[in-house]
Amino acid sequence: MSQTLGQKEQSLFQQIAKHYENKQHKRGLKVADQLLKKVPDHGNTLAMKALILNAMGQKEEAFALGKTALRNDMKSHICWHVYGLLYKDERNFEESLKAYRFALKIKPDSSDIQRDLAHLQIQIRDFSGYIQSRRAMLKAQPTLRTNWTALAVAQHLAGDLEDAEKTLSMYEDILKVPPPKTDIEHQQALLYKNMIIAETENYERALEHLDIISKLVYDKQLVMELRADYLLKLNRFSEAEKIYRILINRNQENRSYFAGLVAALQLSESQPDKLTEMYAEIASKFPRADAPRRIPLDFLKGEEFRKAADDYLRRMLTKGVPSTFSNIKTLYQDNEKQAAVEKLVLGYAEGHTPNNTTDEKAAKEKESFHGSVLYFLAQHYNYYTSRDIPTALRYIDQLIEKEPKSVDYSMIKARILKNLGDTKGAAQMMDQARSFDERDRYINTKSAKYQLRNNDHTKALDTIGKFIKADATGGPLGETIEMQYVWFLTEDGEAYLREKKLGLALKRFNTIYNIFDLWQEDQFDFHSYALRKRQIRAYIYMIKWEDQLRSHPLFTRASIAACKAYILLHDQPQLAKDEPLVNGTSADSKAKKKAAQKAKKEQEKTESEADKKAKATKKDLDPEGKQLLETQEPLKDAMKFLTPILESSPKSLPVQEVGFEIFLRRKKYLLALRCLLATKSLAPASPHLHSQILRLQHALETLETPLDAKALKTFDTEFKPLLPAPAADLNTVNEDFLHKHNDIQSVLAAVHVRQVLDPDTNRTQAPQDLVKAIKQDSTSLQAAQITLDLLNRWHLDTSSYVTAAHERWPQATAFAAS
Amino acid sequence: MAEPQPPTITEGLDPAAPNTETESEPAPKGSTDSRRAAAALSSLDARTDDDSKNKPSPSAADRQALGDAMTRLEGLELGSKASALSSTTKSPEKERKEREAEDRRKVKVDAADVALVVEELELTKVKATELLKSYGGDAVRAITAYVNGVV
Repeated sequence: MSQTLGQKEQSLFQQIAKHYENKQHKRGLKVADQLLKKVPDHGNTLAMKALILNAMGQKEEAFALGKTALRNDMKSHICWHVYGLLYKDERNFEESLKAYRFALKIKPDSSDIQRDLAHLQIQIRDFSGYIQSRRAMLKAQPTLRTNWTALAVAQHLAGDLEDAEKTLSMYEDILKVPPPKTDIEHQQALLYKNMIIAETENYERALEHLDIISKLVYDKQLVMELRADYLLKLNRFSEAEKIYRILINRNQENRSYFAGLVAALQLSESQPDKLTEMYAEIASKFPRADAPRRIPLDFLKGEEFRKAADDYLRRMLTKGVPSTFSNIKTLYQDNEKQAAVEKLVLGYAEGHTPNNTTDEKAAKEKESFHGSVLYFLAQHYNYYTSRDIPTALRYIDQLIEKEPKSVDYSMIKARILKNLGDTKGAAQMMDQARSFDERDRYINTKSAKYQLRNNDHTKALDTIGKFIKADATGGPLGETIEMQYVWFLTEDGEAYLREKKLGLALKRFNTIYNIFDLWQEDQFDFHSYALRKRQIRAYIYMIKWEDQLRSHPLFTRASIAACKAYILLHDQPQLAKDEPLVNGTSADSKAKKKAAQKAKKEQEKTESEADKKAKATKKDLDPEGKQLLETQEPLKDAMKFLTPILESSPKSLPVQEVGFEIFLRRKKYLLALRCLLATKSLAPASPHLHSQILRLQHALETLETPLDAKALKTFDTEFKPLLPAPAADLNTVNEDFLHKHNDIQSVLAAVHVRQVLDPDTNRTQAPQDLVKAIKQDSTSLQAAQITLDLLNRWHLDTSSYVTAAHERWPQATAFAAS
Repeated sequence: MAEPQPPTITEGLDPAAPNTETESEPAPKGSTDSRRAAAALSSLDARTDDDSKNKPSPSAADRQALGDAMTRLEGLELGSKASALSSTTKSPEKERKEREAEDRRKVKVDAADVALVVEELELTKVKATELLKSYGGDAVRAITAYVNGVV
């Protein structure tokens, strides 16, 4: 060490380290200051002080101090180590890695530094670095089994199955005495080795190995599943069949077992008779099992299907299983099956006769069957492939009349109202359903969601607050963030986006973004924990899960919405300034203001009641997202959301569409083309393509500075062939397209193009074109709402459009007469 | 409301299942068997105790084996380093991959092309260079492939 201390100071320094480890930051700080009074430029002490400040949340001061410390003592491994830790906290992993490396160079035998370096390497998936670190750690402590396993994990994740297996075998060879049967670590390591062998796709060897270890492993079910799978892959069908039958005897609802059995029997859907026989045999053995009865409905056709469906439906409806419709609805992809089910259930309804038997029990059963039938029909006519809302309403009203306090019935009614576009009525109905069972969390959640769909933030928070403890820090909203209610935050943000309150919308989406960041960061804890607890296979699954974390549906949804908010902010920057006025009169907004004030007061009240200490450290300085709105480059900010979703969900159409819009506006034409080509391969018939191709061509024709020659070449080969005719007038192409199509999405695409090419004509023409389109039967309520949103965005006259839409969907809140 | 279990169902493994646990002890029957089982159980405990004591200091034989393993590990390490020059211990699959990587390293890339890719495709400099290298330094081919989502 370059700076030496006296004995007394040395002991003081050790005290600081001890206080830091025990998280007694205030005491540590005091001792550090005491020591610094005597030796003001002592690097290590300064570094420790920086670390303490960082832990206390004073990040900037900590960083400055860390730098000073390093300047005072460049040769101290402590200073470099602390520097690395500070960078890690900032998520600047590259710099952190460098600092750790320096520290390790100065003190190569420090296990702490080595460990921190290794964890950082696996966190950023620097596999070759991680292998090196793990080798070094193994050499330092070869007696620890964990170190051998960890090296194998490193090699496995780097894709080197061969070496990973070798490493595991090497340790096994060391063991002269086999570990006792109760050694879970040994069991897990053996299973892990089997997993690696299976990944080499040498199933012969995997099976052999499994046979050897099967006696030592407690998890018999796993061993059976693996064995059956390997046997199947080795075409040893009769052996596989036996095991799958055992597995089915244990669990009759696991569909993968049935799939395995079918494969082992070498049956396919072209032999429905044999399949039916197989399932019937299992079904007769297990009178309560659902899967062997339900699966045949997937592959049966025609009369066979009708018969099997009749049996299945009668059985379920007699029992009164509430999820019967949910079990059936996937079959509706097939029109014939949908029609057959409809006919069957309508038949049950017609067959019902008013009760005239004297047998009370039979009468009751009959009544309950009839109720189930009506419940099924209400859902059937509400489902999007078989929708007939008035009929659905008739059935559900009949049921509600009989049983006005049923949660299930009111819930379906709310759902039907939602499909009518009546968001307000739906929210009320759902809340009524909730009131019938106030202790049911499911219906509580549903109700909050419907309230958010009705843009009623205060009520929704109130509803969800009923399941949040009253003394939660930051009130119910703070709790939803703290407890990571991602669904709630997504719905809340989307509602703000609908209301054009972009600050709050972006605030929510950023919160979700941070939650996912946290999930990624949480891995840090598991690099050591999972290995220490010997859950290696679970650890590998976690690493793989984390690698595709951003493909999570809610992350994708929130990010798409965030991109849309930024596009809106770019197109209409005034939205950041004005008080948004959505479909409202001034009286309306006054009422809203009043409500907002009231909500604010209430929030303040709850906050003051809340724990003040926690508030001091966690206080959000920008609760309404005003800072987010102040951005000069909203589209650049949007990239934070767009980049991860383009990477992890490239097969999502909405992702590619929103990507195109952003790249086109940012004049990144090659990247816009990339999204366009992806859209084309995903949905070749999408009307969006028409609008995208023409708008991109228009942008290329009106460039201020010409494109790079090499980029142009790509456009020549990849984009030109998509144009209807070379050098055609875009306006003519667009009007031709409009003549040929009359569905609302195509019309909207053409109107969108016209808005770019010829906004003057659009002012009179667009509303006319769209009113025509709205009268088409195929037009969905959702498409009509999106259209209205765009008309508003282009400042076009919407009155005739809204009138037409209101005529078509009289209950829809979005088109309610203003 | 839970339906009653039908009488044919027993807890745990189905009795019809062949016993995969060939060496497992029969269920204790009668007093002698149960005493034996208890003895087995207690010896099981004793063994775990021994084991936990053993772990920090392996027996002499283990130590010997450990030493051997460590030298082998180092040999492997050296081997993998050496294989960069003369691949002797690598499988053909690995060799091929390494040769491809080697070829790619040799490709010369125009700095202007890197700048173009960085600007227009918004890739990092490292990734842009990698992309260009994997298309032999041909910017048009590289960009076309990227735009088509091939890479």
